Formats: sequence, C-alpha cells, structure tokens
Amino acid sequence: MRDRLFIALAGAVVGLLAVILVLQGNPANMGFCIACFIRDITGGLGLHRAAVVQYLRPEIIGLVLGAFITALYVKEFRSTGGSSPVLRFFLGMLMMAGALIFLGCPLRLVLRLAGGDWNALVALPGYVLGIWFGTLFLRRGFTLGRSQDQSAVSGYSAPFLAIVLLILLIAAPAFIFFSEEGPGSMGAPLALALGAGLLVGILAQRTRLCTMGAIRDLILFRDYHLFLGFAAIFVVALIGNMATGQFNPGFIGQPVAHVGSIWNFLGMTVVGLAAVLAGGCPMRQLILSGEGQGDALITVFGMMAGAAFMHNFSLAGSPAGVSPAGQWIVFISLALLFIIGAGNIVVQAKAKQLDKKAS
Amino acid sequence: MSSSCYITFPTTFFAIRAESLLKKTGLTFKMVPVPRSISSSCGTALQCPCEDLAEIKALLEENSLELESFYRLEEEGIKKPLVTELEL
Repeated sequence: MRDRLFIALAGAVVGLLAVILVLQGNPANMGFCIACFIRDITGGLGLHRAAVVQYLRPEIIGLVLGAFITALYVKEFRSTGGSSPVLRFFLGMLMMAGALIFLGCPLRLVLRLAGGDWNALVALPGYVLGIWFGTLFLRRGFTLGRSQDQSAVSGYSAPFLAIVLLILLIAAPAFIFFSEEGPGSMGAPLALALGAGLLVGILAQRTRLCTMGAIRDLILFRDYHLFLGFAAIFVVALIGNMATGQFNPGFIGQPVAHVGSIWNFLGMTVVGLAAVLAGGCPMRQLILSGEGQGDALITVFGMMAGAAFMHNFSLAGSPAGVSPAGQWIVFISLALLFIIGAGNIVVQAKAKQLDKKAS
Repeated sequence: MSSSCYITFPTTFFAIRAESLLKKTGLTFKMVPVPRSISSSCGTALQCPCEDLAEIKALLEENSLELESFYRLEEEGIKKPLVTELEL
C-alpha cells in the first residue's frame, strides 16, 4: 500500500515538474526526455554536429546525482557490472536509434500524449508491441547473465562524469557546444533544471519508476504496481498542460514531432524491445548508473554512441519526417534486436530439462 | 497488520519457471515486483502465505530451480513495512 502510494506520488511529481520545466523554457512537451537530453549532451560535447541539439542538459546531471546521493544515503549504492557489457552497449545504441526515429524516449511519449500530440498515440501501441516481443524472449530464457561486484572506482564513474559535465556546463569553455537555435537552445534556468533532475533522481531511486517495467509487468504478471507511476505522470502532466494552455490536440504541427505514423510506431517498437532486453528504459538506466551499476552506465554510453551515429549520418527523425536511410535503420535495428534476443536464450536447454523432470 | 512471505530469484528466467511450475499445483501464490523495502533492484519475486513457504521452496528446489533469498514482510497501513530475511 505504502509502496503504491509512493510510486503514484513520484509519477505525479515527474508530471508536474515536466509541465513547469516547459513553462520555464524547455522545448514543448519536453519537460523531461531522457533520450533527447542525452543526445543534447552528446552534441554539447561535440560528438555529433547537429547544431540545433547541443546542450549539456542539467536535468540528466541531476538525475544521476540524485540517484547517487540517495543510494549512498540508504546504503543501496553497490558497484556492480560485468553482465554482457558489449551487448548492453549495442542495446543502448539501438534504444537511442528507435527513440530518435520517433523523437522521444518513452517518458517523452507520455508527455507528448499529455500535450495532445496524437502521433504519440500511434507510437504507444508500437512501444507495447516491442515490450511484448521482449517478454517472449524473457519467457524463453533470455538473460544477459548475472552481474558481479566491481571495484568501488567503477561504481563512482557515473556520478564523477555527472560532476565533470556540471563543471563544463557552468564554466562553458570554448570547446563545449551550445545551440544558438532549435530545441538545444531552449532550456529552463540551470538551477531549476538541475533541481528538478535531482528531485526526480531521488524519487526514481526510491520507487524504481520505469516506463518499460510498467508495461512489462502488466504483460508478464498482470501486475500494475509500476504502471501506477506511468499513469500518474500522464494524468498530472495532462491536467497541468490543460491548466496552462499547453494542451493542443492534433497530429499536425506538434512540437519536435513528425507525422510519419509507421515510423513513430516502429521506432517505439525498437525502443520497447531494446528496453526489455536491457532491463530498463532510458531513465531507469540513468538511475541505476547512479546507484553504481556499471552495466547501466555502459548502456548510457551506448545511447550516446547511438545519438552520435544517428545525427552524424542524418538518420534521426526531424519535423520533416524520417529519411529513407533512417527508415532502413528501423528495420536493421529490429533485425539486430531479434538476433541479440534469440542468441541469448542460453538456458533453453535447461528449461526443457526442467519440463521433463516436472512431468 | 498483514504479513506475507517472498522468494527472490537470481534471474527473471527462474521466476517465470517457478510461476509455470506452481500453476500446476493448487498452492496460493502471486508473482510481483520485488517489494521496494526488500531491494532497490527491479526483479520479480514470488509472494505467498508464510505457512506455505516451506512447501513451495521444497517443490521449487526439487525441480532444480535456483532461488536467491526468502523474506517475511509485515505491513500495517502506510507505515514502513517490517522486513525479516528468513534462513531456511
């Protein structure tokens, strides 16, 4: 009961902060978007050269540090890693590829819905389909293997990098890129964005809020615990948008969005499947990296590589739509995910053996 | 005050196996996300009445499932639940 109350509350706070961040300068329907913000950071570091999406987003720094401080405080910080790092890197890349086709991570999908962007309504069943595919792999024995304890230095990597980013953001040396136009140039004031990130980092660490787990647990076990958080984000952001005149229903002319329905749908299928195989949505990966999980940090690095790849080769979606090369990326990503999924059903033989014994 | 017991697993795979095995029996159980008060990780746990815990554990081990830990959780309203790790 207590847990349920808490996760609904956490979701509500995320929804509310998202509305406030947009009012204070973030791009529309982008109070929070983990994929977009990691992409912006990648651009800010100059690892991709799409001039309109370069900014060291303070929200991401706050999320990691919030989770880190909380985990330390409640003694849940644990330096672990070593569970299929290479595959996790690829899963991160693919997750980012799908998100940049749709133009948003699952969290932004919810926020776009709450802003009346019906393109997100098309993408949502795509996301659910991807997660459903993922659960098929889980049921057949897909696993990336157990993680092991690592040296403490490994666990402190994510918070260390977050602090380095914060210093670079404040010092703003010449080699750090700041967009002068486009979404990358729009942002809430630093202190507010950082504070919002910290608060969500703390809440997400305490509640395990996860936009993929929400739907996975519904499909696998008919368990709606995590879904409560997901739903609360939507309800509060919807009310907030309506109250502040930011609810603009329709398909066309939506902010940082395109109307390519097939690609919105399939892009999120890629994200859903990759997230199940990687064990968490982009936000959850950030939180886990703050808790000391090297496997999650590798996934975040993969997401950064994916963002660089998608923008340097002009594969990412844009308000103009998805380019033919970007459309190919969708199918290539799905194919790679099926290979990773099928290739890791390592305990299949054991499952058969167990069945035999049981009958 | 209500109390129930939980079994955690090393990977989701074993949790899913446990579910399909136990479905064939008449035992009362439910698959749930690992309660937040037990762990910050996001695995799946088996929830069952504490009086059935020993029987379920024996059945799962007989079928060579790998189990991680056992817990008893006592909840009262919205107060912080009391968690006891059980040595079985």
